Amino acid sequence: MSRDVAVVGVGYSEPESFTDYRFSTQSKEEQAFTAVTNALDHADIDADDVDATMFCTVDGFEGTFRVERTLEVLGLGNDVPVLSVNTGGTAGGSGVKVAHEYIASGKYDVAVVYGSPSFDSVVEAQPVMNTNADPLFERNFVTAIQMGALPSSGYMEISGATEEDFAEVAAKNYRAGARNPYAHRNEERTVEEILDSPMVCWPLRRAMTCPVSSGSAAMVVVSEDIATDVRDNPVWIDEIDSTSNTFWTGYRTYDWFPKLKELSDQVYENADIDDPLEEFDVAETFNPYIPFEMMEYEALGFCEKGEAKHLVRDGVTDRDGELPVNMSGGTLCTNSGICASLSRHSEVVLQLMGEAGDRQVEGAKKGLSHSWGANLGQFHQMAIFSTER
Amino acid sequence: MADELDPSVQTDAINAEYKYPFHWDLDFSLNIGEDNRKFFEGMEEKRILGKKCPDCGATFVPPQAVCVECYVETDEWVEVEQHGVVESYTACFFEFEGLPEPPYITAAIRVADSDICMLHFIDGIEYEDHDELVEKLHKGTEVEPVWADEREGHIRDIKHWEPVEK
Repeated sequence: MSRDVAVVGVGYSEPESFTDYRFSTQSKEEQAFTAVTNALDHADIDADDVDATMFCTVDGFEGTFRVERTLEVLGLGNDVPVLSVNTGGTAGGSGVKVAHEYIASGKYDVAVVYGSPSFDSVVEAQPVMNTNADPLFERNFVTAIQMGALPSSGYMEISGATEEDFAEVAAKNYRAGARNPYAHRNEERTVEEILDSPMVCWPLRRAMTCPVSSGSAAMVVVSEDIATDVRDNPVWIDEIDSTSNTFWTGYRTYDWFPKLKELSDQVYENADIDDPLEEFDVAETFNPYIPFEMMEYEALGFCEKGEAKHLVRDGVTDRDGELPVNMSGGTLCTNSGICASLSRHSEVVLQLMGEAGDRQVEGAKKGLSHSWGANLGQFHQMAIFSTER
Repeated sequence: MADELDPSVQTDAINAEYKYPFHWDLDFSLNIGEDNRKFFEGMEEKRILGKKCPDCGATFVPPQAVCVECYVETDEWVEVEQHGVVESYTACFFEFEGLPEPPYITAAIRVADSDICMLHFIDGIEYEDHDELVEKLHKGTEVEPVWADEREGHIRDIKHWEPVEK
């Protein structure tokens, strides 16, 4: 038995909660209650009708290994399974995949996927992120920023992409973030301002890397019968899949995302996508370090390997381009906490519902979302959403 | 970016009335297994060891217990040439806990004919700013290890790698 599965509700914590984690004042439970309630209200579904919940985060930042208690104290774990999903930056996408498979199988009808504001407990996030890497060898030489910088630096050498190209992509994200009330960074920045920001780790300047943010997201995923019952514009999950890479980064090419190319080839084959640039109306990709967005254009088949610079220079992925990408402001501007990995999916859903506010791309009918996570791209996650099934 | 908080500002310094600080101070001791023990023993003797896959012949430096392509245990130890090639690199200009005083260079180095890379530091390059660094270091730069005088069976028994003088 396999049923069609749709998203019928998206909710975020209050716009003010999308801030530097140090300014955050709400408890984990307060943020979760707001986001989940907003998603359930949006879906017109009662909390009592929820069959299963997926709690998406990364362990280590909250000073406990019982991170999913956030949902349990709200009663969302009473009498239903609470599954904790921890696949780094892809945790939110993995949660949507688990929800999709549960519902497609007929096991459950209504699932809530929750993306936690993981980072807003720890005083200093970097030492926790550093535990991502292999302890005997790799951890001695890197923290999260080097894991973003090594492939970015390598990519410049193979592609001829420049710092100016990266700044152009970042500026596009800042322009988009300025339209998004749920963006942490919500002011436009010029290419010049971005190139003037301090160099953190070559070639990444501060304005090209995500901040440590707060803010959370929730999504309601349901079976086909319920979807058509509760709303007239459900968004269908056409295809959703994930892949894993080696934990050790020593196996990587450090200049591109070949695993994402393998995943997108498979996902497009399953979903009958021949020309992603032409067929998608909107896309959200994981860009905590801005050069990633360009590597992702290529690995996701928007252009050939090494050619993303032309998409950037020609504005193909800007608001008025052929395929607007990261019209939320992306991970760079929204919330790099685990919320970000669900927001990539929830933002595409809002676009297809026609409910993305000032960031709406008119007439969007088919969209792609992607997330990247764990130890230097250990995981990739992709979903294709559609207004039709 | 004037509107963003400096990274040095502590969480507790802002909206302190909403914060409940606590401390988690835990010690760990990992079991490293036979392959890592042997590799680190080699490091103490200034030798770099790798392991080979019996099926595909791939060489792994540092040693891997299992070949991920073939899913078989590696079985043959080899001592490899103390020569590496830079696959990618980055220079860090900010200070992070547990890492050196900036600036410093982290690189992915392919040692000898290894199928995988080793992360390590590169030093011995004079540079004032990132523009100069970019001119001096590239994918493909050849490097060699600089050993610590006192070694204790640790990846940092190699102090760093530095470009081979031509």
